[in-house]
Amino acid sequence: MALVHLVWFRRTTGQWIGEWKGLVPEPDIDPTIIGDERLRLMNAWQQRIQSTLGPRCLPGEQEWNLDEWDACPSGGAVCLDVTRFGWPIGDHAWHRWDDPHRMLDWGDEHTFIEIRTDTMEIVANQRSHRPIRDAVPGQHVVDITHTQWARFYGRIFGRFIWREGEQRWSFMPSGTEGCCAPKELAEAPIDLGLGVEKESVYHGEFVQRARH
Amino acid sequence: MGISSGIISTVTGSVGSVTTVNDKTGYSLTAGSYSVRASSTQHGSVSFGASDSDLNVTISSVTVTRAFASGDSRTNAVTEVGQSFISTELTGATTVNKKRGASGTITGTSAAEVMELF
Repeated sequence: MALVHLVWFRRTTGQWIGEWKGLVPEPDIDPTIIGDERLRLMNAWQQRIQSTLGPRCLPGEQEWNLDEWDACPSGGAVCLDVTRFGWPIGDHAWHRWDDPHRMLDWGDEHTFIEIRTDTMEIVANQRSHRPIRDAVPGQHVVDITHTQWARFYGRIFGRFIWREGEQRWSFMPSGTEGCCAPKELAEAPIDLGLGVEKESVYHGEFVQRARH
Repeated sequence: MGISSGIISTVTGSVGSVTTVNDKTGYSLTAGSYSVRASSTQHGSVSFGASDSDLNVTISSVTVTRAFASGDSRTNAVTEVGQSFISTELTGATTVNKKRGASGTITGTSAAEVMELF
């Protein structure tokens, strides 16, 4: 058996449909066949393998955009073997497929902030072509792409304070003049993807700890 | 993560049956049958204050396989920049370390870069 990581994209839009990683039977191809003919046979083998794969059907590590799957017509997708990247399942979600050129391309970078969930301080500003997931205990990554926060990338340092009366987070910038985010972000809406579970006092101000 | 809500995840397993469940795929390409554009990058920056003489900050990172990383240090003050370096783990976290190189008031950011080439 061979471990493969397969990704499906829409051919017309290049949109990611889903990914699957698991064990499949080894291809049975004459080792003396090389070059273009071998590639053709390997592609045909993969086409047979992938025909048994889809959402809800088989065990395997997988993620799917079910809306894209349902919208994709017969023959409207391409299946790529991306095993060589060695990336986790789901990391190809922002890839784009260029069907005429048979090229896997990058979308725009996403912008993130990372916060400590005990003090709600921002510890990092980040940009990446690939998803950045929570990897440090006690810290949480927030994707701020396409929000008014994103254009201040590299300057967003400070901490969030829970406004109980308004039921929202507000932002208190830190740092010296010129290197920190402008005060207008203090009132800018943001979804931190966190709940609030208990009150605490931090630096003399009323805040609430985030539930992570 | 920008992925729609319609996601399912299950445990690792293997292909068992040969029932065709996917007629959506027009064609399939193995590695070597398609091209990939250049590289992917991750840029991260952390802040440090005037009182930080030796600061370590661990930030979440992409999981790197063939990536290389580098670090630098930028300041907005007049005194010495100091030293900065990073180490990269394959587990999805990157540690940014900043050491003050001289006395004086320094504030600014340390940056970490992760690049993967194809």
